[in-house]
Amino acid sequence: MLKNKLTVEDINLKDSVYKRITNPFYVIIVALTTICTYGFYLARPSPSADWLSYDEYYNGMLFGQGRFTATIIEKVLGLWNCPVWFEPLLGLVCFILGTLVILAVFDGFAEYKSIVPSIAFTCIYITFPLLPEYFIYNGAILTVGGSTLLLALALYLEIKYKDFLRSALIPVILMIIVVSWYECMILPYIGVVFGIFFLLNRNSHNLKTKFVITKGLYFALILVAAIILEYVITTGIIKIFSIPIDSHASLQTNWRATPKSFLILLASYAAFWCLKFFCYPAFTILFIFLFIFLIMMIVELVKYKKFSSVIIYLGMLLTVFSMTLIRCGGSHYRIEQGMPFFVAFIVYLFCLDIKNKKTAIRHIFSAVMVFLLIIQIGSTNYSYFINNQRYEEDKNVILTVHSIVSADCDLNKPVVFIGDYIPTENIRNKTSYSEDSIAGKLTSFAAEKSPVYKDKLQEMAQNREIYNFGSSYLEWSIIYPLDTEHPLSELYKFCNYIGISYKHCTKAQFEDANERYADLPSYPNKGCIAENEEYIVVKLGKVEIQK
Amino acid sequence: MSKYKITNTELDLKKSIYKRITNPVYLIFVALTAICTYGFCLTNPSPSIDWLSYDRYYNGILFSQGRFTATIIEKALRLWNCPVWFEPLLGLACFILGCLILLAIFDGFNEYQDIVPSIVFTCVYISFPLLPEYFIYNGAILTVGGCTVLLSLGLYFSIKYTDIWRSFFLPIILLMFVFSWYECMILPYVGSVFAIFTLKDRQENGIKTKEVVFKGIYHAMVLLLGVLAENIVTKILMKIFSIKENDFAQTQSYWTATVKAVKDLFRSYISYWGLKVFCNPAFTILLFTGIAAFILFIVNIKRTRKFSSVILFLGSLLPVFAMTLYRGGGAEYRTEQGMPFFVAFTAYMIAVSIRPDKKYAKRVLAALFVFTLIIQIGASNKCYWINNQRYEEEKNVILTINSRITKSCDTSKPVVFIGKYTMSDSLQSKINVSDSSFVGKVIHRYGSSKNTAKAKKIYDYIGMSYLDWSIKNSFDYNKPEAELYKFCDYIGVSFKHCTREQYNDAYKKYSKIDAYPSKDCIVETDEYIVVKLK
Repeated sequence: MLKNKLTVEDINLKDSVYKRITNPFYVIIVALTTICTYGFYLARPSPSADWLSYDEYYNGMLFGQGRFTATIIEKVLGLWNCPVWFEPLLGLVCFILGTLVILAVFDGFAEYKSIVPSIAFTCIYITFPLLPEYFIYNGAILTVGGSTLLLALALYLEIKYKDFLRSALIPVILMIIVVSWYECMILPYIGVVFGIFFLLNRNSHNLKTKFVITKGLYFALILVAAIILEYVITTGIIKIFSIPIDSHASLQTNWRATPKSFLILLASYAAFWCLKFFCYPAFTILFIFLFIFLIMMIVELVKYKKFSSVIIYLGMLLTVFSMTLIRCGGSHYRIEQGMPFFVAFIVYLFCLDIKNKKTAIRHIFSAVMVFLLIIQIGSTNYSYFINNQRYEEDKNVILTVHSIVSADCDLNKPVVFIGDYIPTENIRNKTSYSEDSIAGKLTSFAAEKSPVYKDKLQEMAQNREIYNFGSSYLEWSIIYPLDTEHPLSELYKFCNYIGISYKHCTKAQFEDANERYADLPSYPNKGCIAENEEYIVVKLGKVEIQK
Repeated sequence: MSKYKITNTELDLKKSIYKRITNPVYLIFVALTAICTYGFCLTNPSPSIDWLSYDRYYNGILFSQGRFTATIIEKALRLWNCPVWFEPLLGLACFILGCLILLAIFDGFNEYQDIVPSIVFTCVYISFPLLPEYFIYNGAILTVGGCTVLLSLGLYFSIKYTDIWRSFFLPIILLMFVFSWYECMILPYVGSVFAIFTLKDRQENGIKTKEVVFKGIYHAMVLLLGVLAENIVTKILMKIFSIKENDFAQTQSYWTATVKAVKDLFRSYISYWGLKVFCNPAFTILLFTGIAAFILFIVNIKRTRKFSSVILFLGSLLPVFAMTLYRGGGAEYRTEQGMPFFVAFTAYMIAVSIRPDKKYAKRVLAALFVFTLIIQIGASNKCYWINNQRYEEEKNVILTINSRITKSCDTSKPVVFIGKYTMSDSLQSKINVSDSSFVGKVIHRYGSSKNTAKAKKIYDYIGMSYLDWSIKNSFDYNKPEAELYKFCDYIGVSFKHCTREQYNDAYKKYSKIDAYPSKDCIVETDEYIVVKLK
């Protein structure tokens, strides 16, 4: 097996990385791109759902979900309880380093002639505007950055060496760490493998199917071995240390053995992906690239008629669709970590070929790339801006409530927040498309006519949400307690974060307040705060029956 | 074609930029200057007047003012509704790139020997402390940066090439976009043209007046045709899309055919410029730069003894005075976009004039440069800090009012703000000279009561209240205070909007109630809640 695997002993990580990081164009453009994309985010931390729950996550919860890497990394590096910008910055450095290692791998299959493809690949990859969907969570940038680095290193070792230790064992270990950090980070791994076949096929267009299968099998085996071992290790650790299993990660699939599942999958793609083409730049860009990819595939198949090309092209599409295929649809974009690689790799391919084209074509291509980059960075910033606006609003709700509570109530009593807080129209306008937009009309039409998915579509037509973020921290922390014995514990953390300290309520007080004060006027109306002998209650929104 | 214009086919943009951005000293100095000057402003966004009105500006207003470039750029790049730091940073990158292109042009008329003049030019240009007067507006850094790139590219093409397409039509198109982005950005173009003649004059030990006039006309023609083309395109677009003209931009001139107009101009220079020398570092630096430019002129004319040197000196002053000369005075410093170029180019000239063997002079220059740079960066930061302090104060006013309203009123009613909000004494003392200072005494002794308040101001728009502006001025008559509600939304407070009738009613009935921060500044009626600010 080791003899037959794809091996390029000439690739040199040190040389490849060095020649790029000593190139002023690469350094200046990548640095500028990074600062422009993540500067605002880093300078204005805006706690969103889960953001302040690191004590829960890194003290067992992630382990209980079968994810041990994050806990170990955060604990060893002493980062877990300090949610400021060092950790995301470290993640960004790893992310860029990861792209450099991937580029070093690509150097083994595409001759390095110019710095432009490398700049395009790194910049497009790290700015893809779907990344904020995940990056608004605490620790997420380090997760993606670290995983990218590890998976790239695993692939580098697999390709460069032939001995068992370096070409099999170490890559398996690295991939175990990746899988246990964030499962969907295996998608860029799959993408890079098919990317390598793309590069091999690029000049000859003569790859044999057998070659693709036998060589590809090795990479697949490493991945499968890593997934199995990770599962075994996690289960072992959970058993040994009696760690309670946690189901917050919702990794389950929604497939059922009925044809309806296929219809649901298609409806889900139409509702959550296609519709977003009209209102979410990440999907506009993705669909444009999918369209380009489709044309490339048709040209390749018509021109060279090779079955291997079908495998390579379909394989590359796996990086975009695999998570939704496994789960049978859904809108959890943050799990589709293969999309940024997919878009960046196509840009990289174009850049490799554009070198030989006419000057005018090269200029037009450069202009399009700069335009694309600006759109991506702008869209990413918009996501972080919305998240920050949401945080400012949540913060002001608490500050306003506090000014009233501190003036009129006895602060020795616990403060119980109840109700489903709904963000203001200002935030909702920013996170949703209007009813009369193309997306709005399509959603209404689909909600009316669709044979499946009716409930979801009707809910969509009502909410018209563009993003999966922008929902209130207050709402999340009241409605979804991480620990039912300590309701509002995450909300109290938020209050502490903004400099306000309340006495915590008990489960009994929370339940009592929900029952007794459900008819109180909601914030910001006069009378939204009440005080009894035992506690102070603040009603932030409609109270659903919570017993 | 090459006979009638300045031509240098050896200009090489790529090479010139490459040698500078691969020079670590240049990179470190420029990056440090940019970070020090703009770091605080970028990390502390502080909405000032107009800052949150992008929905109006980029959805018609700018077009109807005859400024189409900004709308096209902001819409095409999807930047218009995201007032965070990517756009200003992009603008800053363009600004530095614009400087690099200008330096590439200068390379054609002044042999590149040393990186120091390039560092001096870029750093002094991007950190000039009058820039914050304009940069506190949303989109302004991209406007200045983008225009600097376009105008320098226009100039580069007109000098490097000899074919009519690249040396004539392309620069006209580029200048059309510049003029339609922000009119006064033609000033650095004028400055650059005279700068090139000055460098040529130095290189050739004097040039003929005829050459200056004839070759200068070519560049003036390009500019005039750019302006003309912009006017035609704007008019056509406005006709086609039936866009109504908007006069918010106030680009008109105040000249009248009287001696009084000349007197007013001089009075304006004394009160708005002359006195600022003692209280606003931008004008202090401008004065010293003017003196240095004059000394350079004397030295030059002694050497060349040509009338062309006089023309060049007067021409180089045009970017500084053109706007006020055109308008007949005024204190709107944000329109004086020629000043940063004038100061930076004079500094560049001093740097290239010092011979390599004059070690002592070099050291003095280096010390002076670092000192000037620190003064400039410090003054810029002070402007951004004052703007931030103003924002913090106004934010706290709204938050305090919100907590009182939430506690005592029915928040389902609209909130009507009335009254002229005046910033606190703390802020006032930062933006006005004190009566006991030298400038304050001069103003009291010689100023008329009409313009005393304006003359006492150190800055033009920096420190002006957003609340006051948003209550007094409404873009849409039927939606009073729409800009104020945006400010409230921005800081995380949401109020129900009032109607014009409610606003007029509240203004009529409640203008006598106590003003904020008095406890009686909020009154609730059956229909609305009224808050009197001052």
